[in-house]
Amino acid sequence: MMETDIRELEKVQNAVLKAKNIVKRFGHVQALGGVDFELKRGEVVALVGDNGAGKSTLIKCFSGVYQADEGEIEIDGVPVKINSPMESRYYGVETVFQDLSLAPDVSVAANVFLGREIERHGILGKIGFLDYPEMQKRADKFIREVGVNLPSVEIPAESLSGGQRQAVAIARARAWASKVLLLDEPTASLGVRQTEIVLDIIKASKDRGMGIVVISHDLPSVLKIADRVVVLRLGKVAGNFQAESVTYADVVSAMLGKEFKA
Amino acid sequence: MKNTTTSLRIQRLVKTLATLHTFWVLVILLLLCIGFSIITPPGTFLSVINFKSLAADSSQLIILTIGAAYLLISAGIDLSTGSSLVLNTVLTLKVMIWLSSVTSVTIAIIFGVLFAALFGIVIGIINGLLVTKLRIPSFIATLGTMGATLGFARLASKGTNVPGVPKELMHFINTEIFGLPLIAYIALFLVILASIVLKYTRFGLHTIAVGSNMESARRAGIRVEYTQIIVYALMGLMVGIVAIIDLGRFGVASIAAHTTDNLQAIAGAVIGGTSLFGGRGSILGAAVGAFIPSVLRNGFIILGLQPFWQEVAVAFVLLAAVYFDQWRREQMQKIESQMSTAPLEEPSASSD
Ligand SMILES: Nc1ncnc2c1ncn2[C@@H]1O[C@H](COP(=O)(O)OP(=O)(O)O)[C@@H](O)[C@H]1O
Ligand SMILES: [Mg+2]
Repeated sequence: MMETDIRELEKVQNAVLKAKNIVKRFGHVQALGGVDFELKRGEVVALVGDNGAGKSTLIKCFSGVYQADEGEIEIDGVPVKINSPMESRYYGVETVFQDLSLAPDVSVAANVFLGREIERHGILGKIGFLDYPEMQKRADKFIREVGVNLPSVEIPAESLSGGQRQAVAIARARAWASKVLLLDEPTASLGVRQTEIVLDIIKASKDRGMGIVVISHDLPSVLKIADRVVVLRLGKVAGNFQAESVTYADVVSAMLGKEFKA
Repeated sequence: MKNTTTSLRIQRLVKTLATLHTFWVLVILLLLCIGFSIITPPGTFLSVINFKSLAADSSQLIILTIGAAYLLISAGIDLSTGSSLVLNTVLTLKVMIWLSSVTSVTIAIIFGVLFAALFGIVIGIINGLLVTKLRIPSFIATLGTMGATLGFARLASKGTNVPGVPKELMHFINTEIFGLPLIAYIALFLVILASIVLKYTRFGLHTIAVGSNMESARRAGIRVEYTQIIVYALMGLMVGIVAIIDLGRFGVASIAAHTTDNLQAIAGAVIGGTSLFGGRGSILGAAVGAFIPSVLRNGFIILGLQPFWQEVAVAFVLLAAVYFDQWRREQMQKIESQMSTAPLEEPSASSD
């Protein structure tokens, strides 16, 4: 049954991200045991599964944090090797990591631009002087665009609340992503209203043609925006459902390892 | 709205703590100076000559403290500073003596200076490679280089002080400008430069980011190991500069000196508000902090105490500063955890 699903998917054109047979081991632990995955332009895939199922690991293979031990990844139909976070970003893939991946002592603005800072004009820029006012201006705009108001983008990230940090991480990824947005539990520390804001951001990015993967335990929320639900279990794909026709029962039984029917 | 005021309050608190810190360091420094002025015989501690010598001593330590502060900010540490300084002075002096026997003294001095800088950088890079490529914790790696450089210094000098620094270098280093030793200006210049680089350049930002959260820095595409190696090399360069100053000031490569320079530099940086845990620090603060070990040493010598008492005092000051840093961190974490449990807009309706 699963095989037919995957064959169905393979017929679909315009996969912006495609992975075949991804295997990732950590010593004796096999975190991913041959995962096939596909994401289209303008598609939102909810990636769900029990703790330790391999969701974060899969996303990190796409982000260049981990390198898969086996398997192939294509971006826009081109086979790529993603050896580092830098390369992943070069391909237009941006990630909101589960731990948000902010540098606590660094200002919000500098966090947004970390690794791709704006230099000053002229000689000073050439020798590495940064244009902090410009970065602050743009970071402020990026963060406003996700509907959040911070008192200042010059304060260190550690002085933000959990929700504000999440907003900064999301604003950063959204601002830089051109093809794929990967979100690992982006609503984990958010209240109801902020979760709505994040869902709106995802919808807006989808409308801009971005392919989006959302890891979430909040099934009801994520089903509001997902086109497809992929279930991981013990490092393998245990379910692949169209969101419009899926029931909670389907997802839960796939997560728990019961036989599932398409 | 509520979140705005909370963050603002936190921000203000952090700022207050930071400014208070430098303020207290200055107060302690002032108290130390007043105390020594009172308990030392008149015209000894509080005298122009002593002020100049204090300025020169402090300048040397301040330059090392710049390197130590950069390292601590990047979450590294260098224990080899003092020993590699001794080795640097011994080798540089040998190079100078040999060169002045085959060419002119000027050329010998110029190449001696280049050698000192280069040798310092090489030791720094070795430390950096041990930490990044061999993944040896910086504490142990630099403890290793500390032992090795001291051993080599003793071998190269046969265990005795090496005399014979060219007079010209001594004249130059001991120059005074407007009543202050030249090296005080060199130290000031380096402090300002290092401060600007840390605050306004990409390298500075990357140094802070690497120390603040190495994994986040890596994921942001920062070349973490490259940055770390450069910071160690920078520390090495500072050692090279101080080696030249030391030779010029004292006219010998002294084998028994500088044994506690590593701790003094680290203490200076930590006293000045640089965190032992990386990510946070100020070069200006570190420079101010470096005066405390210098003043202690100076005062103890004038009081006729065994210089070893200074080592004891510096060790206590270092422990106190680290304890304070730890305490500050815990306070921050408390504030943080209070904040993350208090959602900003609505109470979380359990999103899981
Ligand atoms: N860096 C790592 N080193 C060792 N084991 C890891 C590492 N990252 C993940 N794992 C293991 O891989 C499995 C999948 O983890 P993860 O992808 O984080 O799961 P999920 O995000 O679905 O909860 C777990 O068994 C976890 O312990
Ligand atoms: Mg996870």
